[in-house]
Amino acid sequence: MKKIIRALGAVAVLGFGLVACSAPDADVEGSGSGASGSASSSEDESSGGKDSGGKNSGRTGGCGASTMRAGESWSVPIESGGKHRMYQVTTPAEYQADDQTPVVLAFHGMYEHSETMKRLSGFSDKPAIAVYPQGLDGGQGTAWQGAGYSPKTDDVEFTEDILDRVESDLCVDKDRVFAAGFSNGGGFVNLLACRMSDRISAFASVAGAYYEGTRDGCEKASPEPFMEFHGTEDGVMTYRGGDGKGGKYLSVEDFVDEWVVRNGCARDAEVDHPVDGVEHRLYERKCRSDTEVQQYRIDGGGHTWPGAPVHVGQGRDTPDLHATDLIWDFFTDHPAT
Amino acid sequence: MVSTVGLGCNNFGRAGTPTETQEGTDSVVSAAVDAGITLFDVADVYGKEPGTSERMFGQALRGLGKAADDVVVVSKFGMDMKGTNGADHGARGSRRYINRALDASLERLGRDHIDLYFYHTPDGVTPPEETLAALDDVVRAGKVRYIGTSNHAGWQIADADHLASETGATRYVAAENHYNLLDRRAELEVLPAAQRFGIGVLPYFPLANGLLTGKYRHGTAPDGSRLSHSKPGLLESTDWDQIERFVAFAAERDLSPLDVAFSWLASRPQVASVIAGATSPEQVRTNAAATSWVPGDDDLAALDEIFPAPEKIALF
Ligand SMILES: NC(=O)c1ccc[n+]([C@@H]2O[C@H](COP(=O)([O-])OP(=O)(O)OC[C@H]3O[C@@H](n4cnc5c(N)ncnc54)[C@H](OP(=O)(O)O)[C@@H]3O)[C@@H](O)[C@H]2O)c1
Repeated sequence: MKKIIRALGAVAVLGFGLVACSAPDADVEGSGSGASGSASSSEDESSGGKDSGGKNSGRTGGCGASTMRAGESWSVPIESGGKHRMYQVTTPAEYQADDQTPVVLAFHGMYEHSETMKRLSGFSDKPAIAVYPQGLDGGQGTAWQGAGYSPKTDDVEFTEDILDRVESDLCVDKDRVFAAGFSNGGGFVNLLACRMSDRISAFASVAGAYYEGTRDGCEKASPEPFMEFHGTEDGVMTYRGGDGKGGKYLSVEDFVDEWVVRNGCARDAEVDHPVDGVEHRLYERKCRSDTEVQQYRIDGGGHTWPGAPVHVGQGRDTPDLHATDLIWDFFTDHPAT
Repeated sequence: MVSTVGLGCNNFGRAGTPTETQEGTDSVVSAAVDAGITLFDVADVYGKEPGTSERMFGQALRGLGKAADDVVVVSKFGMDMKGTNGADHGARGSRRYINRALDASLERLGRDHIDLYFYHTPDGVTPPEETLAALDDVVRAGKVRYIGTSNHAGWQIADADHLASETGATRYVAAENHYNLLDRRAELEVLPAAQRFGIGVLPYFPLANGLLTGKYRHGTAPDGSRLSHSKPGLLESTDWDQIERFVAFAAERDLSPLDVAFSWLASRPQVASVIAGATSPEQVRTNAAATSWVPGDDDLAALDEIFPAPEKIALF
C-alpha cells in the first residue's frame, strides 16, 4: 500500500512539474501537466486525440490549463517506445489557454536538430503551436524513420505520443493539426500522410527524401492535401530520383504523381510562376475529399528551404519564394473535413 | 577558456571576514582580475542571507568597468533559498523553479546572462530529464551559456549525459565537486565519469577549509582565520602528523603547502579550474600563482603516501 502511495506521489511530481509528493493539491497554478516524463492522468487519456473517435473536433485536455503561456518556448522530455525523446514547442504570441489553436509539427533533416528546424522554418511566427520534434541518432546522425540510415525506432508512434502530450498540455484545435518537414523530415511527413491522417489534416515537404520506407503503408492511404517544394539542382536529393545515402528514392515527379493519383485529381495542373524560375503546379480538379496537390519546382534551386532566414543544406537559395508562408496558407485552407 | 584558478565567492558578505563589506569584496575581486583570474564562482544561496554574495559580486563587477567583459560568471541554483524564490516544495530542479531562480540571480548580478550555471545539488524528486529540458530552454533563450552539475554522483553525471545525447538536449559540460588532497573520494566515481564524458571538473575546497595552507599546526590557528571561529571541531579531528608530513614535503621542494595543494589538483586529469575562496587581495594573488608547480611521478607517489587514494570499493 505504501508503495502505491509513493508511486502516485511520483506521478504528481511528474505531472505537475514541481509539486512535492506530500502536497499534490498545492499546485495553485493548476496546470494540467508539466514538462516531464511519461505520466498521464486518466483525464489526459480520455482527452488525448487518439481515443476521442471521429474526426476531430472537441476541446483537448489542455484547454484551460496553464502549462505554458503565450510566446513561450519549451523543450519537453517525453518517453516514447521505451526511449527518452524530446521536442521543442512554442506557443504563439496571442496564445490563450481557452482558444483552440492549430498545431504545426515540423521535422528537421538528417544530422539536424529541432533548433535548426525552428530557425529554418519560422513556424513559431505563425498563429499556431509549433512543435519541433527531435530525431534520434542511431549512430549515423539524427534522422527520421523511413531511410536506410534511420535509427531503429518508431517515429510514427513518437509523433502520436507528442500529439497526445501537446493536446493534454495545450488547447489544440484538433481539426487543424499539420505536418511539414525538410529533406529526411520531408520524407517522414509522407509516411505520416499515409499513416496518421486521422490526426493530421494537411502535409508539406521541402526537398524531401522519398525513400522506399517513407511510403510504407501508402497503398492503403486515403486522399490527403499535399504540398511539395523541390529544386531542380538539389544535389542531395536529386529531382530525378536515384540512389542515395538511405537507398533508392523516387523522383519528385513520380512522387507528386502518386499523390495526384491517390487523391483522384485530374493530371493536368494549373500552372503559374509566382516568381521568376519557379513553376507552381496546382492539381485541384476532380480531387476527392476536398484535397489537392501542389508542387513548386524551383529551377536551379538547391537542397534548401525557400525563403529561410538561414542557409541550411546545399546549393542555391530561393530568397523570393517563402515556403513557410505558402505552406501555412495551404494548411489553413485544409482543416480536417 | 577559464583560468586554472577560480575565485570562490562564498565568503562575500560573510560576517567576520574582510569580504563582509562591499569595499573588501571589491578589492578581492579586482585583485583577482589583476592576477589573471577569469572564473568567479558564486551561487544564489551564498552570503549572509541568500543572494548577498551575488549582489555584492555583481556590484564589484560593475566597478571593474570594461574588465568585467572578460569574466566568466558561474552561478548556481538548487540549494534552499528559504522562500526567496517562492514555495519550492523541495523540487528545485523543476522548470518553474529554475526559471524563477535564474531570473532572480540575473537581477542580483545585474547581468543578462550567466556563463556557467550549475545545478547545485540534485533535489531527489525532479526527473533529471525535466531539469535538463528546462536548462536546455534557458540556454536557447540566451540567459545561460553553459550548464553544469555540482555535488552530483558519478552515476548521475553519466545518466544526465546519456539523457542529453538521446534527447538532443544541451549537455552538462562541468562538474563542481568536493576534492582536495585530504578528501580524494571524487576519484572513485566522479572523475572517471567526467573523463568518460568529456566533462571539466571544478574542485571546491582545494585547501580543505584552509587546513592545507599549513597555517594550522597541531591544533593552533592564527587569529582571524576561519577555522578558529567557524569550525573548531575540524581542528580537533585533524591528523596533525599527516599535516606535518605534508608541510615537510612542500619545504623539501621549496614550495609552500598551498602551492602543492593547488598544483596537485590542477595536475589531475579533467580538472579545469581550481575554485578557492579568499578573504584578502594577498590570498588571491598567492592562490592565482599557486599552480605553477608540475608534480613529477615521484612527487605524486610521495603525496599518495601522505594522502592515500581512497580505497576502491570494487575491482573497477
Ligand atoms: N559547489 C559547492 O557545493 C561548493 C561547496 C563549498 C564551496 N564551494 C566553492 O568553493 C569555494 C572555496 O571554498 P572555500 O573557500 O571554503 O575553500 P577552501 O579552499 O577549502 O578554503 C579557503 C580558505 O582558506 C584560506 N585561504 C585561502 N587562500 C589562502 C592563502 N593564500 N593563504 C592563507 N589562507 C588562505 C581562507 O580562510 P581564512 O578565513 O582562514 O583566511 C579561505 O577562506 C567557495 O567560495 C565556493 O565558491 C562550492
